[in-house]
Amino acid sequence: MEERLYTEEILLQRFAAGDPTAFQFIFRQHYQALCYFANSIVANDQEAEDLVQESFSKLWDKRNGFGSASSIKAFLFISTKNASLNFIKSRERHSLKEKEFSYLHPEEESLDINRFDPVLTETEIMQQLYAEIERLPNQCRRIFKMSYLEGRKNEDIANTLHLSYNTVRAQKLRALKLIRSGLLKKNILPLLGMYLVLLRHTH
Amino acid sequence: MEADQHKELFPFLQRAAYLIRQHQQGLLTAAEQEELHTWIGASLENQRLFDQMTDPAFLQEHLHRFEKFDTEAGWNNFRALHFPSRQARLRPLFGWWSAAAILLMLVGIGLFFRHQSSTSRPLAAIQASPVVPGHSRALLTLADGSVIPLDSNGNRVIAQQGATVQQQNGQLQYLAQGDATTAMNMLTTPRGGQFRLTLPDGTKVWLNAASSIRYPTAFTGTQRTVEIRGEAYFEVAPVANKPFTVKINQNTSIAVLGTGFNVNAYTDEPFIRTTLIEGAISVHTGNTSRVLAPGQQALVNGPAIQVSDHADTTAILAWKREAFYFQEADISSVMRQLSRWYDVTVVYEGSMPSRRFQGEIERNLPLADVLEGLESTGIHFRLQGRTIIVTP
Repeated sequence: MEERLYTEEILLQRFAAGDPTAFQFIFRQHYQALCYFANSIVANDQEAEDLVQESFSKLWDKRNGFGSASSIKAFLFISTKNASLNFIKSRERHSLKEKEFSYLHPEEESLDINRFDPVLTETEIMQQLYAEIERLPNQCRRIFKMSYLEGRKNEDIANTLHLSYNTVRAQKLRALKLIRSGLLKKNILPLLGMYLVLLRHTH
Repeated sequence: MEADQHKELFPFLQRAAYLIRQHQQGLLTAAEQEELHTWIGASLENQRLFDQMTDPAFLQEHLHRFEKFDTEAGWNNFRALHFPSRQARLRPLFGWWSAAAILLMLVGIGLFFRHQSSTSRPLAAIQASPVVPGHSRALLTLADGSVIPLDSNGNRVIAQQGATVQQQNGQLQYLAQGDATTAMNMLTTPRGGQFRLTLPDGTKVWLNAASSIRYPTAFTGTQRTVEIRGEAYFEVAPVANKPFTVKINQNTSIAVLGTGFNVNAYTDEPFIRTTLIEGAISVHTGNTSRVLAPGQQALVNGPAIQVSDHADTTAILAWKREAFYFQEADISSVMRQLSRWYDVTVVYEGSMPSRRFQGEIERNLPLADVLEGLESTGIHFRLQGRTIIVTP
């Protein structure tokens, strides 16, 4: 525990001092999750990324005010949420204006951190699931992603990576052994089940 | 300090996310199960979230969506805007730690350097005689003293008295035998080598460079004991009433129940570090012993054992997934790893640079690429034969 706090303290010191590598560390930690979160609200990949870039710019301007890594995370998610909600509002206002309505009054979005936010919870879970995939060994991860996330066939993966068909299957099996969340295995299992049965017959 | 009011980040969110994650991994306790059920029943919103998070098709699609956001591209945009010049990025900052400029090496740095190397300054001496990375190779010493060299593309059965050993590429497997007579074998990796081994009880061992393991060809007694030097990762097969012990030196050993753990016991490293990934082990030295929980690391420091929580397992197991991983590493620690893997000697000229390094590099790159990457922090290297000379 001591060691972790120490590391966090150093990170925050460097961050406050404007060290780009400390900033990059935080950027990498949260970027995908923030984009996913913003995209769930604005339903537009490019806008989501722009809004997240904005949040990081704000974070950079305020880098002296943070006492913990989790307060940085909270700041990023709250500003991204506010920006995303404002973005949809202005988009709506814009389309209303075109229809010559002008009475819409902007409301300031208030955010209660104790209020439960399902989209944020979803983002947190997706981030942790994704981290589980990211923790797989290199080749295993590449193959699992191509198969599971991109839905590519074994032959196709084998050709792209210049591997044998059997290596691809073996790496998929390995991924399944290493991944803890049963749900990630469901869509890939039936095929591999067949492979296992085959193995048992041929040996 | 305005931002600091959010110190506790969304407590309800964290709890709900935790419960759903435990559910996804099948790790809920009875009490948590009930808590989750109550939570799901509390609102339609909760019910909906739970349904989505347990729907394989939803997860698959949304993870794909998650993945499509490209962190490196995002970072490049951000960096171009806020940290325009490269010099500025690496300039030391205030404070005692600031003397150490940090290099953050990107995962996949290899590709980056390969693209760069045609345009950047060539390291002439290095390119003249490329030092290639290590690969699967080892020496197997049988009980009668004969030595068999193993490399990464052998497929054969090695017969010896009382034991059958199968080599398949970079792996060696002992087959369990009913009435085997026991003999001691030893597997040794040179600098620049690595190998995998399955012991007769099914225990799996990954042996890093410049390491060795000594073991019986059958575990016949009431104990399973092996001896190691250097670094190894163990996945010990659980066998009832037959404890597994890893001896490191005269004083220090690890007692194991079915589990996975990493031991780093290189004699040129300052401490023996044992990190538990899962299961349970106890570390013994002299009269002291400590039991580890998963994620903990024991550091044997003379007669004492220090245990730290939250060991960085990504860093510790990097070698097993064929990468170097540096976390706040000083130059000598970086060079020790490189020298073991590339089988080179390291000499320091002038004062030792005080920089610290952070990041991950694949282990299958030529030494020149790795050095070139390190040179971008302002440290300089010269290569003479198999000796690297480090200059500030």
